[in-house]
Amino acid sequence: MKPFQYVYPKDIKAVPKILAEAGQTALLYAGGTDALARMKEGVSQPDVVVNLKEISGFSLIRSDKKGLSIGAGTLLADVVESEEAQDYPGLVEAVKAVGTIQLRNMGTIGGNLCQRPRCWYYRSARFDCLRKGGETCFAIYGDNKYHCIIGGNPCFIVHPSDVAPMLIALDATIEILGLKGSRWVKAEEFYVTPQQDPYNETILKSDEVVTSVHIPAQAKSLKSHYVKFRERDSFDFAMVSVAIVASISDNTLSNVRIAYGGVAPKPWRATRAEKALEGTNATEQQILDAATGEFAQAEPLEQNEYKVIMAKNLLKRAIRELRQG
Amino acid sequence: MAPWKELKEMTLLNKEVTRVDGALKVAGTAIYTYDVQRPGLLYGRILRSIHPHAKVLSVDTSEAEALKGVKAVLGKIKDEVNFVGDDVAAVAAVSEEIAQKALSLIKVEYDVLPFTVREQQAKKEDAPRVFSGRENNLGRSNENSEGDVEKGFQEADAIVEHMYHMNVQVHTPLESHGCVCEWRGDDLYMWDSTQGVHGTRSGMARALEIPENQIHVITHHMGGGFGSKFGPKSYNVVCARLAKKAGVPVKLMLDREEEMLAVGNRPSSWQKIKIGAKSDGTLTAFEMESFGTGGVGGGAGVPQPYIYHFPNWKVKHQDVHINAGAAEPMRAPGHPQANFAMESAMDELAEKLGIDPLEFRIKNDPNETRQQEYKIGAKKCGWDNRKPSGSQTGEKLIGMGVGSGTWGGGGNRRTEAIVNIYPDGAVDVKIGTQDIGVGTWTIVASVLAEELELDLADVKPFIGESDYPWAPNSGGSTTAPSVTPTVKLAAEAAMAKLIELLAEAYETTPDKISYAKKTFTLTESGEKIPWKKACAALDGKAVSEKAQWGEGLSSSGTAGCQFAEVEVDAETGRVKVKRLVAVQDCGLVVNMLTARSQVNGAIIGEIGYVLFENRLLDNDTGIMQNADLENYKIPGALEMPEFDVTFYDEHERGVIGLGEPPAIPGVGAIANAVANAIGVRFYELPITPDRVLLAIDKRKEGTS
Ligand code: SF4
Repeated sequence: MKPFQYVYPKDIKAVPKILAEAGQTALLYAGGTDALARMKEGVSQPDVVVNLKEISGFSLIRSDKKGLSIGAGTLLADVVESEEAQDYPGLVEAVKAVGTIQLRNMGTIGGNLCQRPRCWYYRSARFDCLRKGGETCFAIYGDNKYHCIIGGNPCFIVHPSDVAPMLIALDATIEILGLKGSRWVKAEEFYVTPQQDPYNETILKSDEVVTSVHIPAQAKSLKSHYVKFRERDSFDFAMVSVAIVASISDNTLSNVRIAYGGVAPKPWRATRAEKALEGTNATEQQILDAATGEFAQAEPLEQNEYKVIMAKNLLKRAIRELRQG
Repeated sequence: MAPWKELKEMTLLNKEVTRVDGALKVAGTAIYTYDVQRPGLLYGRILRSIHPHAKVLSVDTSEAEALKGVKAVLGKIKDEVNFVGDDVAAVAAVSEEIAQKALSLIKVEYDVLPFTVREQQAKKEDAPRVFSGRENNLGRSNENSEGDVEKGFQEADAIVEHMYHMNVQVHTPLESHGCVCEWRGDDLYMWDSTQGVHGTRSGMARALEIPENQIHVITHHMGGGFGSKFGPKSYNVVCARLAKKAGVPVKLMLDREEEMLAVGNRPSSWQKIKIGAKSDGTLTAFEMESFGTGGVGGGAGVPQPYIYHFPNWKVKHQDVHINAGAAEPMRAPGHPQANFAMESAMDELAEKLGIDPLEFRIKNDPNETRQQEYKIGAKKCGWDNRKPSGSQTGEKLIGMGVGSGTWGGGGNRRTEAIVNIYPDGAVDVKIGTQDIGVGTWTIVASVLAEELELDLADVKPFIGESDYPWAPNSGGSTTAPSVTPTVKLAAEAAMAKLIELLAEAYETTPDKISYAKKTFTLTESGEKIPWKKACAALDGKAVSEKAQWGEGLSSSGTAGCQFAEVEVDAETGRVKVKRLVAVQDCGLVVNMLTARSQVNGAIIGEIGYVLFENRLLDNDTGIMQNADLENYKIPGALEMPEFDVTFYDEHERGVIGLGEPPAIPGVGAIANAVANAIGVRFYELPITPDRVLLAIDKRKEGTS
């Protein structure tokens, strides 16, 4: 590991300045479950490591009429346990789906949203791939079973977060602090495709840090649910996951919001599927048609055609369970 | 020599005795190699090749040597590297971080050469050479046959013919390879994570060209090996050299990536199989042409036609080298590979003939023990409820499958042990075996206490050091059948000696002294002498009796079968093994708890092999892209089935090894259960959700 300068500000307001001064060579460090592994592998070689653990008020969960606010430094395990979060069952499910209990005891909400991709070429210091500033994407002709089926090119990662798809489905917003002050963005707009920016997964600028997320209060009729399929239950990132929010009355779906994990370089808002299902009874055939429409543009790589089928099936499962739940 | 006691007389053997080292392990005070601390200890690291094949032209270590904290450097270890992860140079420094930094300062000039990491390509004449200057990439080959195969296939009413393929699996012990080396004068003390303290000592003596008795190998506790840790390996020699150079002890532990690249794996297997039977279910012929790779090593052969009786058969095998780390034996070398192909083919043939797969096996399996085991297993798993293959629809599909296996597992006659009885009544045994995690500490102590009719706490086992009497490597399922008879015989000898000395002290003859449960009785006077008093009477003459292994207390040859019940999630392709019924013989079960634990562990390995594990080598770079525990998937707690283990009682055969036998039958059983559930058969492992889902989808398309 390369030697680095270690700073641990107490006030969040100090962070943008530290980041701006360090330029691209700073690394934000919260739970460390992702960052430390990258540093050890040499994939990230920061000159400055900014530890966020001592920032006061960074870990907090608050609920009021307007909704639920979660500080970026809140432990995932604390979200699962918190009373306030239980009004958002889909959120609790998604957070609980992250890693293992050990990882949730270390990892934070902000870290989960900003974690870097799991692509094995990206994670290995031996492959100087496009996302790391190299020339080629090794996934195109290499082993690409876990890569994306839609929205890829020139890089074919999937975004690994479980929390992000659910935040998008819940229409959450993310608070960002930079040199110029705070700004709020929709969770959906927080993420970018490789076409927009092949080196970063989010819109965060080099002086910016995520400070909190806000989930608007949900109408009583709205239900939320998260379904994650992992190859190995004990510990795995999603092969495909689905976050869904909708109200169901007389078997009819309305206010449908759907976001996928594991299929695209960013958490994938499935607007076509949403539209197709809005106001319908969501029969098995209708769901299948909706998902087929959503993934009509999918361009699976050599080894991941199965994800198209899985994405359709999981939407079926998500709606079936949403009804039951 | 007395036989083993009757089962009903045993108080420790054949019982559920908890591990004597269990408390140490739970408390974290058991010292593993990684935990060894020595004064002035340095940390060693090996610089490994980033190229799958290259000539090492020069290695410049000057900058690394100049780095503060670096105490010893080894330049160019070899002239040619043949896989990514091969040894290039090494350093020892005051911290692991400095050692790592020093590696990055070593300048290596390579002449990069063409390579191949695909055995299908490597076996061709025009393939790049794995080793420069060799004529081809072919390793060992063999051919064998019996009867007339052509005639056999002519007699067949049904024939199944397929290529079966298993990729490379990696041993993945939770404790990686590694050692600590300390020179004391001309003597080398080496704490090593090894499956054989004596084997490692002999090998180190050869490698360092010093006498065996100057080397002392110590392995008190280790975190698994599964066949990968028959030392010494190059890291041992490198570490010893670094320690010599530095003049202080050096610890060199491999990290997970090194573990996966450089110290062993289970070879791949490609078996083109043809198998035929008559309509009444009689097998007529078997033919196989196979190849496989153990990387720069060998050992990809498979023992076909495995356990079934074929009047006519013919097999042909070819080992192929690729630019990848050398294979090492892995839990029943060749058998799981043979089992998957054979059991898959048997099932498919049974289906073709319209015969129940279990009946088909019973008809063609000549082994008497397994004939009984099939019945027990079938009942336990509810075989009668097995549905016709592919007959189910819906979200969850249930399947059942069966598979069988065989293994040797006899004792090694060179094994020796010393039992000491001290004047204060203390008792111990010294034997240079090792506990690779399976409970050897416990069975050594149990045999001694059982034989001397003492409590377990009254005896002390000493194992895991090469300065103790010789015992074999823990491999081939030989440890229990080697160690238990030897300890018993040494205990018998010690008791005889004790009685002899006691007779002298009490001025009588040994035949007039009886012994039971810590008490000697002078049969003429009826006087009772408790254990401690008897030992005190020895007048300072300690009993120290050595014995060598003897016949009659152990056997070789096992038979086992396993039944798997799986649930396939038709929406995701996930296969969950719900229940695994194992029926296994291993002669006299020495310890019911550790024996069951052996079978459970073997089943976990089978689940990994069939459903998860898959070493991936990048074709363009030769790099293993899943050399970590995130992407190289071994089963975890949630992948565990319900284990249902039955030992088929053949205690009269004596002790037989159990490490390998149960690691075989479940491979075919699980694969067959999947085929039964979804009606599609896989000819390749592992059976992962992506492939299952595509298969189910294709089947649906086919039927709609
Ligand atoms: S998918 Fe992206 S991260 Fe992975 S190799 Fe290609 S460019 Fe790199």
